[in-house]
Amino acid sequence: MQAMSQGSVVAVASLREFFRDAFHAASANQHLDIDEQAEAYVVNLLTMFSRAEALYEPTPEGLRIRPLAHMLADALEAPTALARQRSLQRLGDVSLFVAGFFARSFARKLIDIDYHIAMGGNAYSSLADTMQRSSAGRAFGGVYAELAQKFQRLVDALNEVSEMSYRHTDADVLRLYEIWIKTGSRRAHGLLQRLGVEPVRHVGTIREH
Amino acid sequence: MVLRGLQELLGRLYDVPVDYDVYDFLVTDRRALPDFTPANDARATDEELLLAESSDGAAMALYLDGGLLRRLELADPLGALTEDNLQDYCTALEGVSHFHYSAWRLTRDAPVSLLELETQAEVDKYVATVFLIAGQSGGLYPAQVHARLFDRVRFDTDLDPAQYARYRTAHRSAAQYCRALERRFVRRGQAHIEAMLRELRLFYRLGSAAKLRHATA
Repeated sequence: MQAMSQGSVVAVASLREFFRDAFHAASANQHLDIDEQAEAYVVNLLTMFSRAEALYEPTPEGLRIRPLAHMLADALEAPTALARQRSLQRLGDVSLFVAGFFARSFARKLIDIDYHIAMGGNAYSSLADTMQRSSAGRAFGGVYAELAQKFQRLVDALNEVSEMSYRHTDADVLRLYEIWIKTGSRRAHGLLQRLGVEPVRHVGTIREH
Repeated sequence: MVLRGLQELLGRLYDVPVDYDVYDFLVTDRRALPDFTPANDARATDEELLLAESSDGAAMALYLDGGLLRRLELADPLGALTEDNLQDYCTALEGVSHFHYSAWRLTRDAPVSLLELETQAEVDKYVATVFLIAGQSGGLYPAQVHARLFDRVRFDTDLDPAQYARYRTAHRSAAQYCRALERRFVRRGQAHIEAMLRELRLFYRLGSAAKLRHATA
């Protein structure tokens, strides 16, 4: 990992091993205490989504990541409990991966990182509730409950994995500030302080709910 | 009678008859509300729609803060919608929207989800505001409404994660849908009203998942 942070290319025997080491190091850096099973789940997810065909789906406009609202609609009208679970899992997995790896690209889009955190955390939480009610699903239910509870921290850790060879500059201040305002990310807060900014919250305008 | 005016406006826009007068179900004193904590929201807010199963179907009540209603009666948004009464108007319209949509769905034995209620309410706010402001300011399509209603907002920090995800989804989906309405039906400040209303009436009649898909297509 040391070599990576210096910007050089590192050969790895397997992608899974690379993600395991990188995520482990990022979790430690972010003081993220996570169960072994949940960690294995995240590493598997990263390995799976490293294949584009696992992340992108065919749409009328070509291969795209489907809107999260459509995945939620799939879950809402799933014909069976199993289909609902699969839709919720997909929603949680895609939200976590996209928020973790594409955080900086959100700056140019309407969709924002906090929306992915809310949707993903909620999907995992619903999944945990459902699975913990059945004896067969109880073990996995615990994993999803942990993923839901620590979703924001997981995103922070994945942000670190994705930015291991990236050096933050003054130009990132606004984006980091937005991430901190929207999500309360401890990582964004720490990076802002490192860039010499002490973030302060302010209020918006129309009150929604 | 502000609420009746808002209800009639929604009824006309969507061609949905007013089966039940909102004032017959209105509660303005929180102490008169049934003594229970709703399953989906434990917060005390200025607007709440209470729905419960009863022996002969469903029981419904709309709570709106009395002070808010008094302020709206003094500064009626149906006469002049301004920055000063915008917040109260949005809260009241949301309540009327929830009530009108729920009553319409339930009298047709159609299910109604919290997500579709919120999505429809966001669209209702936009559409009603556009029509009110256009009527009050000479007929041109008010291009500033979308940004005002969808960009400059903040969400209650006391929302639990499920509520937050629901409100954000509804808000985002409605914002996307209303932007698409503008792209499809507005040219050089003029709206193709008939075509827009046809689309809005179709949208109103979609159920939960179909509404979400249609809004974000």
